[in-house]
Amino acid sequence: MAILKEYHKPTSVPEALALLARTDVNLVPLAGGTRLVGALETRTAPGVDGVVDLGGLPLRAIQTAIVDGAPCLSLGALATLTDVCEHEGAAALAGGLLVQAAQGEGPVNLRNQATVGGVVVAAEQDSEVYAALLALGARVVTTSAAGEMVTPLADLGAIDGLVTAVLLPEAVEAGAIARISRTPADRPIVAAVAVRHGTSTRVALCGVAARPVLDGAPLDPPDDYKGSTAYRRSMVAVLRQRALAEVAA
Amino acid sequence: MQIQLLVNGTDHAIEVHPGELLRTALRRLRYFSVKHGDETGESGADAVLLTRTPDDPHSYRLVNSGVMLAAQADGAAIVTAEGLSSPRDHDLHPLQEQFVTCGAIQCGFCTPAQLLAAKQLLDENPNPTEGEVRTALAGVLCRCTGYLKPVEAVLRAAAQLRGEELPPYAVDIIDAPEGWEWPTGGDGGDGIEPGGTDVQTRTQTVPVKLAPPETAVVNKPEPKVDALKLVKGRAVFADDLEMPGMLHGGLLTSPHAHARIVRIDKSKALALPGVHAVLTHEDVERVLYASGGQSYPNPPPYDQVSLDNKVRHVGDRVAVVAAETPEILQHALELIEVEYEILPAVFDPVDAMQPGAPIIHDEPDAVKIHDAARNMAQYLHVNLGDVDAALAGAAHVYESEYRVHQVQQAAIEPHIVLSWWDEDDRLVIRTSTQVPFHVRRMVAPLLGLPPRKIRVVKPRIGGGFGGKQEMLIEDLCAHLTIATGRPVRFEYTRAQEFTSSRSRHPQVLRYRSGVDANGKLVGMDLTVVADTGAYGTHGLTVQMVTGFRGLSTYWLPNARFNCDVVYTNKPTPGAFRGYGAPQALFGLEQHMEEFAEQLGMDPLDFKRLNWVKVGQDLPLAKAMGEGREGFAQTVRSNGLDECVAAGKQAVGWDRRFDPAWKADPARPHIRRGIGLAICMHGTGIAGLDMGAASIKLNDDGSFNLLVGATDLGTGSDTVLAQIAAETLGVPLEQIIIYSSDTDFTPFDTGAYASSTTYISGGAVLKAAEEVREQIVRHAANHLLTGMDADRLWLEDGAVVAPDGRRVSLETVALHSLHQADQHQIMATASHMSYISPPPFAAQFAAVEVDTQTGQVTCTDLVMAVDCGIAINPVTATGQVEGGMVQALGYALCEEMVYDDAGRLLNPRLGDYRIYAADEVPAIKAILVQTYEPSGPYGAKAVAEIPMDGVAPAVANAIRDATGLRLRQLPFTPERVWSALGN
Repeated sequence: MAILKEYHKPTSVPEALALLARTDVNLVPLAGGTRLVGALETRTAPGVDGVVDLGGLPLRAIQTAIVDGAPCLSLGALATLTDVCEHEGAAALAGGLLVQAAQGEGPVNLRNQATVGGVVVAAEQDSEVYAALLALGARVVTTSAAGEMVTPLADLGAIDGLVTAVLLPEAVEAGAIARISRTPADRPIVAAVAVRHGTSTRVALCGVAARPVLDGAPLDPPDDYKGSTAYRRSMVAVLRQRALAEVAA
Repeated sequence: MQIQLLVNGTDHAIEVHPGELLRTALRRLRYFSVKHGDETGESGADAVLLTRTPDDPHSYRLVNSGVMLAAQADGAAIVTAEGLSSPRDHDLHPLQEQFVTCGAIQCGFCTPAQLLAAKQLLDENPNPTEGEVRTALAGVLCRCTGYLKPVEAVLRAAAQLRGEELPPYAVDIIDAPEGWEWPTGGDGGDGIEPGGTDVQTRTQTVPVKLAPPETAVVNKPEPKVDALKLVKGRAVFADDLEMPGMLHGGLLTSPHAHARIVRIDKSKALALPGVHAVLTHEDVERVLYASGGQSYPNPPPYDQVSLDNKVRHVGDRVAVVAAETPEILQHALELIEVEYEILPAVFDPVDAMQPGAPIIHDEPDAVKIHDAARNMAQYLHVNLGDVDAALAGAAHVYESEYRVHQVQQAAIEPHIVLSWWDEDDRLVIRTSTQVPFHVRRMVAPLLGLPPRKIRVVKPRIGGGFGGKQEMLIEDLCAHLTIATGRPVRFEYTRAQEFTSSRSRHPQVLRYRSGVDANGKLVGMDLTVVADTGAYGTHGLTVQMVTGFRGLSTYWLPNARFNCDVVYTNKPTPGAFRGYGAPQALFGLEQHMEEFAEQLGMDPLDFKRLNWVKVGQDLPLAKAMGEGREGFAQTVRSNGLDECVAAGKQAVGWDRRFDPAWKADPARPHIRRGIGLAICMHGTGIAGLDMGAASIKLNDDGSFNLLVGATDLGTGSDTVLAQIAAETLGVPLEQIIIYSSDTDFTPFDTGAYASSTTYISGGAVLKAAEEVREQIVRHAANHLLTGMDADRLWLEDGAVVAPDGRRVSLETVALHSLHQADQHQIMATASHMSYISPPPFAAQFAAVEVDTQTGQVTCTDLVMAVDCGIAINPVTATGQVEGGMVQALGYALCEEMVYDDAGRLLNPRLGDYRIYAADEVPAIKAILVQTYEPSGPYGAKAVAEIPMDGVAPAVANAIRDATGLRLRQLPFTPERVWSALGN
């Protein structure tokens, strides 16, 4: 049962940042709500006094942007996964990789609520969208009192301020996902997401570290009822090979 | 704070608090079609269509109102199921119409959300593929249907909206030619349908029948009698009722697996404004009971009390609170201070029986625990003949062991109870239960009230599957009403459904059997260790069914069953569809195949040689009653041979022998296989289950049918009404059925043991026959004078004489009520049966095994089932389809998993995975109809048997694909991968 004292819906990023900076109460940002509201309802997000609903911020657009002099596709942090799937440019990237990855994230009602920014902030270890963003070489725009900062997703540490956008290359040739799951539409136990542009390829992995990681990063697989550490580790080579074979085809 | 919502075109300004959910705000606005399935968004029962640009019809999106704050939706426009059509019956959206027509509604709890998901799809895409329909429905979990009929309904609605002519939705009924040649369905080809997500509904249900009865209503695909109110999303479930002054009740559960409550301080909770009661073991009288909803006297042990000073599993009861709002309730639960003396806990039943193990039931007042010091709730021993001698003299002996795990019923509607004092100072309990009459009898002593002071009402139920065959939380809600004098609403959270409700018993089963030189079984020994968790409840009876199913499917001259039913510090198993049979058959159907392989026999030939035949006795039926001695049974109908033949053709059995099919050159890591399991179940509990029905003639020639039987979504109200309509010669709409209310309907044991069609249906048949007799007698005496009553019959709403004279039932009714010889034409009848005719089935599964990862994907499930005559072929096939999908979860993905401290690691849907619409295999139900002479219109049971054979069929399919023999459930990727030698 969500017990909240305060609800705020700012209309500008500075206003949101000011609310989140308050020290008299613990306010947390609320995007789509698919994760946070459930956590509040089940009392697994302790110490939250209120929420700052980001739904009033002008951060939902998906558009071409010029960043550091180069064109890229900018996904507003509040764009839902459905918005991404319905956006021609985003949906076409890497042969529809983001559309496929979004399906692995959850069913349509979840995709209608869950946001790009939420996926980045939650960084769930079995998020194929997060892994796809990694494989696509996404950069994350964060905005804080100190201003805007652009960080490669792979290098993103603790977030200062708010995630306001995710930047993707405008064109990527091919992508593929190889996954293991208990049922066909379940979240993956382990997944490999591969991207190819020209002859260069990049692979990201789900289910083998605390968050999805680029292939080559140190692995620290979870050990749980879906799969042991050893199993998850063993599956990396199989899935990497399958995903790469598919993008090469 | 105040927000604005435009719901179904109506503007609402509503005051909400910052944490309020959109779901609860909509329900406060009386949009009761918006359901609570869980707190974390996986069920999708709370889904609504939402937009901020209502002028653009394409801008609506399906969102889960239970993971959205009401404040987030401020200013939005919303469509709920109530908005799909006007409130009147005759006005239906094409989606609603097709859901009714196709039998897409079982319990109806998820139906409103499914309709909205489909509406969004069709608004955007008027001509969707089946795959697109499945994707659209994937976020609304359904535990009843297996999704086949909802998908068919959406595809038909799309065609209707496109203006296409629709063929009538009727399940083909094919009459068998003379001489027992059984036709099978399909296009006359090889019966193999191509697989893949876009063609699953092309695999239509194919009933096959013998000796068709001449019926007008029975054996016809009548729409469900409750379909309209369910498809309209009307307020029909337990929670869809507002009471003035209603308080919210809730349960504080134990964080420890085993502990004594040393001290409880409730002062802080009581001091919270808005808290009306906090009850602990210090406040409630200690009355021992067994919670399983079963006939009097309830099977032992009696090892529970409403609130105890000891907790025996994580999730056990500690205290209950009633407060003015859910938020105050939650806050108060968190303010109760409990000091525990933590005790050592034990989680494995074998460990629990060892000397020195913690004693879980050390309370001195528990009744009829077999051996509390060894944590043995029950010990079962049944013997037929001399197994040791038979096995010693056998030509071959084979022994093997199997392990089955704990799974949860996961009905989409959680347990929910409302209770209040009525104007006569009687306690009314409105509850989501399968057993309203057992609840009244069982809860009375706990409350210190005589049963006459209690009225139990069962409204529509959002699925049960055995989980609601309990007196589970009715006592807690009622204690709070008694303490406060106020109406109380008491509901479980989804997590509590997992930790504090019921589940399926885990078991270790060891089969040892012997055959003679011809392969005939000469004896079988079954030894089981069963885990009954913290309490005994259904521990005795579920395990007895395991023994009976394990030792009766194949005919045995000598048999022995030994079973330890053992306490552990885990959440308590109870009744779950199949009731011990899925466990037994997971072992038996592999044991038989393994034995055949050892003998060098074809497994199917070996099974056929040994399965029970018409005319054979089931000798163990007498020894193995449920909690008491049973009654000897003789098999009088068995369509198993025909089931096997029909199923083999439908699944493409011969592909087993085609190397090009079994290994896919394009995917060299994939191996394919097909497996079979034979199933036999029961039909009610012989000599124990009883149902009663009352039928009353109304002025207009219609009838009220009052039954104690409990439709929990299966369609039993429809089936019972069909039996009455057939017998009384009227169309179905002339029967107004009502179930069930302890004040208004006669007794029924309840919805369990696959009993309703056969037992309660038998009562309806008798009552209808008695009413028919009264009608023809009155007609002969007054309206068709000179005609012998015995020569009259009822047809098309009239009494008909052989000379061609007719008098309408309306005339008979008006005459008998108002004009002469006035009396109410009415009868009540009861039915109990010493016969429990087994339904039989052949279950087939086709799988793909990924030999590099261990992932098993089931591609086809086919069940050919002999359920006697299907009173309603649509609801019967719906039972089979939904049951198979549940059972596939048992085989592949569902599992309650614990940490070392006994804490459940996956107490939410999603983590506890149940199948969604976009991932089920192609499923096919085939009704192979036999005529059961003891059943109403030839019927046997169909409800539980679909649960029994999928797991062993999948196991046998994996064996066929890979050579692996897997004897432990579930077949998770890692378990299979390890077995593959990795």
